[in-house]
This record gives sequence, structure tokens and C-alpha cells, in this order.
Amino acid sequence: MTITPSHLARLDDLTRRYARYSRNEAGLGAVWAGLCLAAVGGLVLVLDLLRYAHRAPAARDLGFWRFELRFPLPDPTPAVLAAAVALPAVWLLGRHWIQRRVYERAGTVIGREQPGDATSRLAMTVIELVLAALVLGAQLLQLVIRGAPADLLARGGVTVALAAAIPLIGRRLAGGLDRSASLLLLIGSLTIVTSGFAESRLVSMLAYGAVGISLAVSGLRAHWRFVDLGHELAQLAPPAEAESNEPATTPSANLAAR
Amino acid sequence: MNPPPDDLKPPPVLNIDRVVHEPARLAILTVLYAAEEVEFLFLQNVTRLSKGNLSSHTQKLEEAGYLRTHKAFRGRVPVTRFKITATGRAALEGYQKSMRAFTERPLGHGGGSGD
Repeated sequence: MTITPSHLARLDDLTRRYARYSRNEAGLGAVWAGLCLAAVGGLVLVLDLLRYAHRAPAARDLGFWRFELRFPLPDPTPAVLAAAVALPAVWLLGRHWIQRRVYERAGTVIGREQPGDATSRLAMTVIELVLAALVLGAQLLQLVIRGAPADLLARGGVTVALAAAIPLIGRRLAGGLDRSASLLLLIGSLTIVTSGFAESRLVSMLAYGAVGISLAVSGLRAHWRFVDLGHELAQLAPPAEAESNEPATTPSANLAAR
Repeated sequence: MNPPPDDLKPPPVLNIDRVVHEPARLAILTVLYAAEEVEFLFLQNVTRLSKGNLSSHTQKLEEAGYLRTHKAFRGRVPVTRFKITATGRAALEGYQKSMRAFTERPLGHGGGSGD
């Protein structure tokens, strides 16, 4: 068996690029996050349409902006509530499924931490904790101000659980993009669970739409890079086969076919 | 006894680590050096070695203390992962240094052969 320095350099480069998809690069996972964010935006839209349907005369009299500011979103129906609570979990499960089925098909490779990784992870955790506390406080206050609905305790409990999940889930995700997606999804769910601030609806819709699209685009671009990487792995010329009498089983052909 | 003058010392290439010098093991260590942890399947994919060959080489590297093996199950499927040790990193870096020292010296112009 012989091997050249250029072959070794290529092995090093391919391994590093492949490993990125196990740590920082979500690829299709980001597309999935974009879809989930769109789903949250869609749920808010459904609630908003319900609000208009219930208060059509007031909407006509007050005009759009005053109506927006005056009336909070209606209480979510049990189905919408369940969907809102389930969405972050559905996203997370889908994210792991995609990673396992697509990006670890040729074997799992955990990338090495870069020098700035630990610092940025710590900064992100602090931001998540602060945001979780702010969102939790604001949403619980909203629930109380609006007069205790019959299911305040249950919805308060779900709210606390979702807020607590923000930093907990964030800790398990290495990529900044993943963490941002989880943060937005959880905040979106919280908004729906607590019936949210009416004023936040438009911002939510716009922000979620924009972030969802940008996530999907960046995820697709990352995935195309991975497809190229798969071809490179499949075309990796074997250094030599002199030592082996056994047929080499190299499933990377599967990767190239993707 | 005085140490031999620099010109008479064997060139660094003669002190190379033979565990690392074997091409398949060199490829394995290069891949492991680039990552925190690597699964057997990936190593097999990039080195194009058969399962038997790869196992034998990783075993030799483990005996030399250059890598650590971690075996686990994913569902019912056994999964083997490898991690390069600090000794392994140092060995690969030392090997690269030795080879560089050799390749950067023009042949016939060093080593004190008395030409």
C-alpha cells in the first residue's frame, strides 16, 4: 500500500468538512426548522383569523392598527395548543432523524472543537437564559392580567416547561443556527400557549417568515455542499489495495448516490 | 565518549516511528487527527480498507497507545468509535516533522557521507 502527501491532505480536508455536519452544520435540518417556524407562524395566523371572526364589528370600527393593539389573540383551541406544544419536540426529533439518516450515513464523525466554540456556546447559553426569563415573565404576566382563565394553572405549567426547555435544549445543540431555531420555536409556542400579545403577532409573522426562509435557503446550500462532499468521498481514490485479499466494502457509494 | 558530530548523526528519517510509517495506519491517524471521534464505518469509507485490515491496523495503533476504542450499541447494531490520544497526536506530528526534515534537504547534499 502506498500513500501520497496530497492524498493525506485530502483525507484531512474531507474529514473536517464531513465532521462539520455532526456539530455545526444542520443542512436539511435547517430546512426542517424553517418549515416548523412557518408552521408556528401559520398557527398564529389561524388564531388571528379566529380573532377577526369573533370581533368583526370591532375590527371594522377600530381600524386595523387599533384593533391589533387592543385585542389579544383568542385562547387557542385544544388542537392548536397541542400542536404548539408539540412543535419544538417534533422539530428536534426531525432534526436528529435527518442528521442520522442523511449526514451520518457514511459513519458518525464528531468534529473537533474550534478555539472560539466554548466561548460562543457560553454566550449563547447566557442569552438563552435571559430570553427565557424575559419571555416567561412577560407571558405569565399576560396570563394574570387577562384574568385567570379556567386552565391558568395548566397553561402556566406548560409555559414554565417551555421556557425552561429553551436553555436545556440549547445546551444539546452545538450550532448557532440550531440554537436560534430552537429558541424561536419555543418562543413561538409560548406565544400561542399563553395567547400572546396582540402586538407581537405581526412582528412574529414577519420575523418567523423571514427567519424560516433564510434558514431553509442556508440549509439547502449547506446540503448541496454535503452532496458535493459525498461525491468527493465516493471518488476518493484508494491509496492501494496491495495488502488486502478481502473485498473492500465501502458504503460511500450510497452517499454519492444521494 | 564524545557524541558524534552533527554531520555523522543518522538523518531524522531513520528515527521515524514505524507504527505511524505504515501507509494504512498513517491514513487512519490522519483522519482521526482531523476529528474528535470517528466511527469505524467512516474510516472504512475513506481508507478503503477491508474490515479485517482496518481492525488489525486500529488494534496495532491501540496497542501503541495512539488511539482509544469505544464500543457501544445503536439499537441492536454494534458501533465502534475511535479517538486519537495525545500520544497519537504527538506521534503523528513528530512523524510529519521527521519527513519534512528529510524532504526539505536535497539528496546528495547532506548527511555527512563524505562525498
